[in-house]
Amino acid sequence: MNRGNKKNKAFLKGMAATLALTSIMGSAAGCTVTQKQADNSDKIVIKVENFGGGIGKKWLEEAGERFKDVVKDKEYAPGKKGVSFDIVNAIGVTCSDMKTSGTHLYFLQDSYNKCYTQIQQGSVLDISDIVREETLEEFGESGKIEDKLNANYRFAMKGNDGKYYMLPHYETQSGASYDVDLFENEEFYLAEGTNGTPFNCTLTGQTVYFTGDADEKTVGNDGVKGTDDDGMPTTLNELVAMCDHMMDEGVVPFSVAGSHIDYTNYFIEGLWTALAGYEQRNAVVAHTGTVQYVTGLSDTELWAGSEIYAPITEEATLTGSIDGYKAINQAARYYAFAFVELAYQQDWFYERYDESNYTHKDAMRAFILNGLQGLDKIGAHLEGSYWYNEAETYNLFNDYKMISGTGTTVKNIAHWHMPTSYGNDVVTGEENRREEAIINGCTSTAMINGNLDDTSGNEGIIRACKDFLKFLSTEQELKNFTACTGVSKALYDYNIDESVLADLDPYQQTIMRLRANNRAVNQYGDNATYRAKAGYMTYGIAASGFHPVFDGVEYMSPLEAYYKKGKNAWECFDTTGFSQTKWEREVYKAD
Amino acid sequence: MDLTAENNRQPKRRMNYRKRNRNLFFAALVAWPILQFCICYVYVNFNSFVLAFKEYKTVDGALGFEITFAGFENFRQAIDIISERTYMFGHSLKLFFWTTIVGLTLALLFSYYIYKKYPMGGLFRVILFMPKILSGVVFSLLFKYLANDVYVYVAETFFHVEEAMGLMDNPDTKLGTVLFFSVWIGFGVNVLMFSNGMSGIDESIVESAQLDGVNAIQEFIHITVPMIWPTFVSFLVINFTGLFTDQMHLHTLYGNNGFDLATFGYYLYVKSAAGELVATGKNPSFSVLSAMGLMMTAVMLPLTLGLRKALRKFGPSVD
Repeated sequence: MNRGNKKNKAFLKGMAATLALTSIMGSAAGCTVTQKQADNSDKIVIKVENFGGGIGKKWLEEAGERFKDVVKDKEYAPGKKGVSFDIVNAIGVTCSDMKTSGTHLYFLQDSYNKCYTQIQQGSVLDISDIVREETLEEFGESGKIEDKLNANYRFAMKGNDGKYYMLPHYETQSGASYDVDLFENEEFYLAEGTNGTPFNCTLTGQTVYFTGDADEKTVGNDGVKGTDDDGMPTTLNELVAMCDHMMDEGVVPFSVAGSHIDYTNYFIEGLWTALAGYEQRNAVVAHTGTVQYVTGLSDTELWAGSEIYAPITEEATLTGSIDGYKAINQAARYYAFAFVELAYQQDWFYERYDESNYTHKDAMRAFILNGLQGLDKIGAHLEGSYWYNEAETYNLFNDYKMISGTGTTVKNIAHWHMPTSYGNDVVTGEENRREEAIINGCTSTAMINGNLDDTSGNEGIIRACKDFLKFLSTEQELKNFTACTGVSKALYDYNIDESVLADLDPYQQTIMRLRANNRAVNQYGDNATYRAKAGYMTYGIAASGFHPVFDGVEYMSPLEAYYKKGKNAWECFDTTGFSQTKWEREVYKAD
Repeated sequence: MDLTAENNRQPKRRMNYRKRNRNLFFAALVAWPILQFCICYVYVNFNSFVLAFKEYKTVDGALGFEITFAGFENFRQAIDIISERTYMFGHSLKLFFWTTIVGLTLALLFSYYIYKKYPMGGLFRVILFMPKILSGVVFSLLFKYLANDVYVYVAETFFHVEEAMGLMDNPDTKLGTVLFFSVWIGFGVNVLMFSNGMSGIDESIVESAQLDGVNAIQEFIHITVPMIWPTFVSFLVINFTGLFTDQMHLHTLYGNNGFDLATFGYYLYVKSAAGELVATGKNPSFSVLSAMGLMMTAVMLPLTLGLRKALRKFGPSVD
């Protein structure tokens, strides 16, 4: 009996000790507030977190290999020559957990306004030395990183103390992507003059001509023939007529993921920017320039039978951030909301947009296969331009190759050229051409964890991280990045060789040409109001300006408010805009 | 004399030695959990309390924030948010009613069925516990496809319903579907705990009652329920404390897209995940969210204590 009790006690003690040890080990594993290089490797190990969506990690692995080779003989710490990488590639990578993370280097999807709080909290390492002072000589260049950064946006990489904390990473554009072959085959391009097939659009009350009998497409926004935008609408009414015509021909104009109804916001963003033009759209963050802003609603219908009405507008020259609300209330934003309401009314969205199980991958696949396997034909896919890289990651182009029997994974897709006027002033040539402003919906960032500086002994790893950022900023690496991803580095001034461009897929080439020929709005404002309340002025899928709230329910996009709550464009525009009082109370901060 | 004294002292010293070792062992065992409790509970809650009275503003020309005493401004903003979203009260109460009142009652009945070893009781136990065997995320994914894609396929193919809508997408059925999911996924643990509690009931009491002629219903009401009443009270009180923090699995099922069904728990979860020290457009600041949490605690604390007292006082007695 006694022996049994003793055994039991010993067993219980053992169990208790094991449990306590497990608890301690588990908790200790989660605690990495300060860091110290603890491995026995003869190299410095750089722990990297990389946002796994969008452009993926192939570029990082390739650049990492090249960097390892370049610094293989460099001694970063006693007994440690060269570097190796430990890469975590995940969707949930964010800067918000940096303070307690053991990661050294981040390549995030988050843009400046998301990381700004972390910078102000001191969680991000000051990299002013490598940006301002050190040259890139070690990697074969004489200049400094700062010289390569777009001078208009250097402020956006700094904290309020004027020091550099981040480097720009990549950019993606908002809007839509369309199937070029489908447009050619179905003759959806607008024809020059009156030579094509006439289409009487009852919504606009206008007759437009499509390239049925005509060889010549319209010139597009740039006013020049033989360019990407030929045959694409230059006014909002032409866009309406084009969509109306597509529906008549049995092709659904747009497809968007039901699980990500907020991706329609990319389309709104792109359309708004093109309609507004660079200056007006940039005024949302810069608070300068002249804008047409909405003061009310008229009783003039924009499109016959739609009950969507034209706004009453006024022109205003902004005197600074105090007038910032007028830029947010600008007419082009309303017109973009109005067009999406019309698209909803007219069933221009592929029917599964209201199904939460219809994922972004499903929507991409339907668009890429486009009519194959009994799927509906779809004109355009609504998502940020990064979708193309994600579709490659999901092997959807291989599916296309196998199912279509074309023997190629390359599909003829292009960035949808947006109309640049909500009037009826169609572009007919170079004499009345208009710039097609684009918007970088995502400007991602790279940064080093500030907690490396909290303890001594991390000099080697800090140096290695800084060297890697310098290496990535060299001209050759910037080009390598684009060659690998088909995406451009954000806010860097660098040339992409023709040979690199020629090797990109058609879709990526259209994006490159678009950004080369037009100005892109980067959503950064160099003023106190923006720095204090950037979230109110930065648009994107998660932007408050695209998330109307009715009866306390937040909707992910105006489209969701239209179909779930029966709201209209005006109500969504009004609730996401600002009155002067609300602006001054909630947002405005004097410079 | 000395020897006797020495002999008397030795066991005492050994006792002290053993007592000291035992205390040391106990201290080693609980030190870490206590430290964790202090940091993850005491500190976090204390910080949340303090945060509710702070306002953060960015400093011009330097890193850091200017922190000022906000008075009750954060509470005012929290009240604005709550009063604009009163529908969340309804959802939270419905969730409590279905998962706790209905769910626990059904769990009691099923547990009794299993405990009595009625036909297919074992099978029920497995089926009901199944959601807990699978990962919550995997199970919710399966459920989503069942409630949407499979449902639509069956409705359209076998019942010729035109343009059928998934149960989780249809505005008329989505709340009911999510409530059903919440009840189902919580069922396994309840049944397991109750049936285990029931299996501990002394057989002699049951046999004696049966000899006195009680039927199954009387046995359930007068013996089984009183015997497991403390377990039932624990579940009820724990569920009640979560009235304003339970997010109804909405984030697992809908991600950030579930605001039309939102409970307070869901709102706090999503906004805390997206929030910052300063308000960012649609996301309130941490300070406002903390104020909201404090207000809910102020409401729930006396109610929970009152409920526990009432259940103990008026609940069925074993006697």
